Amino acid sequence: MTEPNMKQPNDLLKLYDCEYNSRLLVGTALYPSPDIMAQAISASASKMVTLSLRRQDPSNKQGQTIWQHIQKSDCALLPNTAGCHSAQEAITLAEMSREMFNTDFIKLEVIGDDYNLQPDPFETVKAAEILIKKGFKVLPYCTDDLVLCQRLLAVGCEVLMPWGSPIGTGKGLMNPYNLQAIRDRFPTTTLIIDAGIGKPSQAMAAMEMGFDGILLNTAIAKAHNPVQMAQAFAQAVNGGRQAYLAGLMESRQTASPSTPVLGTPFWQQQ
Amino acid sequence: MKINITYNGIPHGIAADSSIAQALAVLNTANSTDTSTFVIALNQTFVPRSQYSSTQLQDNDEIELLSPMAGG
Repeated sequence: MTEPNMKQPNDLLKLYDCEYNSRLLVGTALYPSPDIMAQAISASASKMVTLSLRRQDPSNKQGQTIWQHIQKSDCALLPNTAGCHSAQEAITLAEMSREMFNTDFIKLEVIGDDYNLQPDPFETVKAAEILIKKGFKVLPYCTDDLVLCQRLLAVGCEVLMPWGSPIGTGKGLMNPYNLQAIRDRFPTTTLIIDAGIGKPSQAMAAMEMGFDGILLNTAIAKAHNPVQMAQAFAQAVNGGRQAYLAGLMESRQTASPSTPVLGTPFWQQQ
Repeated sequence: MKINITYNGIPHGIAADSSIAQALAVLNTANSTDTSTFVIALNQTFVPRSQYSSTQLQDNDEIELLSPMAGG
């Protein structure tokens, strides 16, 4: 019998031709210090972390320190194209990331609106198609639009990352109906909820729905105790996954006693 | 003779006929020799490290030099 909270050995997160024994992907930004970031990543048990490329500022030693900590971890790298507003910008940044980080993985992020950081669906599909042809393993950050997900799959994406809610809001799963529709429509596609997760319970809910993984940053980095919160998210993601695999009971409209009715004490036939 | 280029958003004048590698020696004083610590785009097009010496800069070229940073 499997012990509670024990991961099943063969239940791995599949990202293209790679497999990982953690379903939690974490970002490396916004932590109080590089040391706390490293501790939080370790506590999360994540096997893949996101990072970025930015203009070099020789006076900013923190960027170099963060990079040194990430290199020491055993995590695979998922560079992002954060800040890009066009397919061409994202493609250029992806190519630069591939040379810098020596990985074909790219978290494709093309922003369409700076107010809510909503991804641009048209530029995202355009960039994904070109990057796939260039040999990238594209993980596109997208909205919870079913047809957009169809288009991304059609151009060759093997992983989709719909948002739960806008980046950094912590509002959780804003539109469960749409997310469930995407899960049901693409049952064999690796689906990761990216952005908007603020609490472990929200991550667990997504995993219970059958999503394959969670990508988050702010909820851990901005917690009062990021290391403890990383552990909480690791447990929540694992718990949600176990619940999904175990199979949830169907909800009912009316009450149904769990204790047998037969032999109820103090009952008298009228 | 000099040409005008933009390096990470800031205008600079460098010697005409400079390659990217030669420009880096002047501009990127911190890490110009250790090319494993940064990557470059020229006019929003990626330039592989192997082409730094053979890519000649033109007037009004824009160089972006990027390094690893935290990200979400």
